[in-house]
Amino acid sequence: MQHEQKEAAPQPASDAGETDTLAGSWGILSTLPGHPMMWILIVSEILVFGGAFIAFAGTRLADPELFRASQDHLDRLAGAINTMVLLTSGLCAALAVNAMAEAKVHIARRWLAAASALGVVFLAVKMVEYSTKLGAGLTPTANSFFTLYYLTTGFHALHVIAGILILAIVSWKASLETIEIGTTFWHMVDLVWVLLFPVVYLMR
Amino acid sequence: MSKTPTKSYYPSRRALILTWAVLMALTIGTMLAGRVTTVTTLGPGLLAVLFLVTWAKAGLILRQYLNLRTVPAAADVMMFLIALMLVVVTSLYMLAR
Amino acid sequence: MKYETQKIALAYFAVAMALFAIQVLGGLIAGYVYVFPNTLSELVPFNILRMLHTNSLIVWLLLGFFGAAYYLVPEEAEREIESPMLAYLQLAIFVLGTLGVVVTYLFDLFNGNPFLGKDGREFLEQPYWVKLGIVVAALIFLYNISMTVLKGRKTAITNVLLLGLWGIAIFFLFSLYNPKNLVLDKMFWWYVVHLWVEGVWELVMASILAYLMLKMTGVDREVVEKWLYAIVALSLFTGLLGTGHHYYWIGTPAYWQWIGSIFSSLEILPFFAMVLFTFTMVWKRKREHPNSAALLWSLGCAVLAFFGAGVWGFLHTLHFVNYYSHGTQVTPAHGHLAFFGAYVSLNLAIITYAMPQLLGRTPYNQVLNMVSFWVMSGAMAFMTFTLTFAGIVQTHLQRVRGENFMDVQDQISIFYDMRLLSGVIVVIGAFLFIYSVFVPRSGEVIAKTGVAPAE
Ligand code: HEM
Ligand SMILES: [Fe+2]
Repeated sequence: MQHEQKEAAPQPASDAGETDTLAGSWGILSTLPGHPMMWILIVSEILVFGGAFIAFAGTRLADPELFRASQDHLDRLAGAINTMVLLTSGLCAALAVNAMAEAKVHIARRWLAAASALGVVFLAVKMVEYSTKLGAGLTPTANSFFTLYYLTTGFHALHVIAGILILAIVSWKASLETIEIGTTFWHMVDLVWVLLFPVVYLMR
Repeated sequence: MSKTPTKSYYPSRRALILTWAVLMALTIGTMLAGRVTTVTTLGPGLLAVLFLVTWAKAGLILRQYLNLRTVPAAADVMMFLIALMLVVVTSLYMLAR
Repeated sequence: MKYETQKIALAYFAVAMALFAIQVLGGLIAGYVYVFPNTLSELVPFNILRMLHTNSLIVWLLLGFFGAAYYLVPEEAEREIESPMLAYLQLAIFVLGTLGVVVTYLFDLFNGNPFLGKDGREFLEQPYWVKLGIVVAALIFLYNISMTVLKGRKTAITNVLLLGLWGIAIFFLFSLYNPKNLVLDKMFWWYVVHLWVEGVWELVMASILAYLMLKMTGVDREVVEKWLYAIVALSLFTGLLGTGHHYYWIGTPAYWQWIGSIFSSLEILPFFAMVLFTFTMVWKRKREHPNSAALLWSLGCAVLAFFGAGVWGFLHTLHFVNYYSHGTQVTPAHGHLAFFGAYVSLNLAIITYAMPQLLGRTPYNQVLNMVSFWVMSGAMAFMTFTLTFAGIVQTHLQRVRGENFMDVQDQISIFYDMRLLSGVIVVIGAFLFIYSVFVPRSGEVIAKTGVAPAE
């Protein structure tokens, strides 16, 4: 076509596709730490969880008594401990980036491993919570409270699992950029829990 | 990448550890305001405290851990989104009590 | 046209336009039956008319996608299509299957035969042998296009297009599985229907729009690609679990009500991103492309898709709303504007863009084409409003007040009259469009190879 002079310069076939995956030419989004796509994901996740929390508070309107009684079955202390676990894990992740910025790969990997280990602790506590609930017959279909409880916390736990995998990958393919992207995801998971805990466990 | 990550681009180790300490303290605040070990209901005052503490924690995670302090406008947008969500949730809680 | 094999698109577009004509005529007759119920009731009953209307829509949209792929992949991959012969064989299989479908439906041949007779499930009524033919044709297509891309230059546009096209084929496989259990039947049925239009078709849409923007606005490929990635991420993030908005009342567990409500509410985001994308690109354009009709269709596509799919979808997607609106005229109000805005307009955009080049002429009948855009879009918007009002009144009378279905139908018949009127105008618009792309204006300068001045 004649209208094409602008992009006439042929790109070598080999590098096309690879350069696409790195940040750059994203307009204002390029200034964000980590990869712009990760921020698109983070905002989407905040919207999804935000929607779920609003659903939670909205459903409670229909039957506050049921929600209060059901919520008292939750282990609030375990939730608080898990908050601390994740926040500490977030510190480890941030320190990994910090080490990587000084080109200390080994230290960065160690911090990433610590962050993941705390992620596993979080999941373990969560499993204990789930098994006591399930053992008491409080299943996802027990009532509307528990449906939303399992949905929000379960969806979050899936993100913790995904986050551990991502941290493993960026620790394997360690570079400042990959680690920054991976830990960005991890902090998002952290952030979601910080919002989830008061809404689902505490407010009453 | 348009940004050039220099050392000062990331929060210092000291700043991170300080952030973590404040987050821990705020979590204790959450536990107190949320009365984690008591079967009770929370009055509007405690709900408001919970709201503020949670919002402050989110701010620290965003600005320090996620390093959004380098892009203050983005931090503001996120903080606004989260505040909006918390306002809706808290008001819905206060509606039925 | 740089590559000889781009010509394949012409055959696909021609068959697509023929089916487009059949589709709108079928719709018109069906709309007539709503007003005069006994029309053709012996010869071609309403259920058959409706099948012809919906199936020809799907088939021509798919043929349009295939044509678009054959048109744009050579330019993107910078090489000829792997095998033109296979491309025409694929088209032949589709035409044969379509004829088989029409004959089977019209004469109700082999009623009840599991292989030769029609299937009972909405949209998937094609006899089993036709479904298998579609699978074979899809495999041929995927082989042909994938080989072309693999051996050539890989771009974000072809990557996303391929992902979408592979997805279309893979999800179609679920149409071959028809479990006895009605809940499972419905569950898998939506894997085809929902995951098509709110999943993989959106990828096709985004990549074709990206191609059109790249060509017509001259904005840097890098920038276009970033938008494309963002749109694709949003579509998949929201659309996959958004399937839950069909699992409210079919017997699936109750937690789907929240999964569906939350994720599908966010499905408006990719459509909004496509509006932002197209308008930003046009705003930042580096050249004035002579084919302004194609640009109009592209922008119209993004906007109407946003309203039809995004806004009208959101209208009834929350489960506590859908509890009342499910299965009322609100659904066709949404279905019509979504299909027209997103996929009909998309096809008409790429056809408007490609046709002058395929036929070796400068963009022609621009004005007529643009008139057809306003006629069709205006009439479709009007149809959407009439059906929306019908749906709201129906929801109130039937679902809230509990009146009898047929009594309610009598009370909303005025909306059906108005819908028929808008249908007539849509058909006129469709024929204007087909005329404008195929028939050159008399006395027009016809250049051999599209020497339209750039910029
Ligand atoms: C271009 C994209 C879209 C197309 C072509 C489309 C088309 C359709 C069609 C044809 C139906 C009727 C299906 C049936 O026979 O039962 C339908 C149903 C539905 N659509 Fe969409 N749709 C699109 C996007 C969306 C989006 C983005 C949403 C939500 C935000 C949405 C929400 C719904 C809902 C809730 C129903 C079920 C209505 C009911 O039966 O209660 N759609 N759509
Ligand atoms: Fe859907």
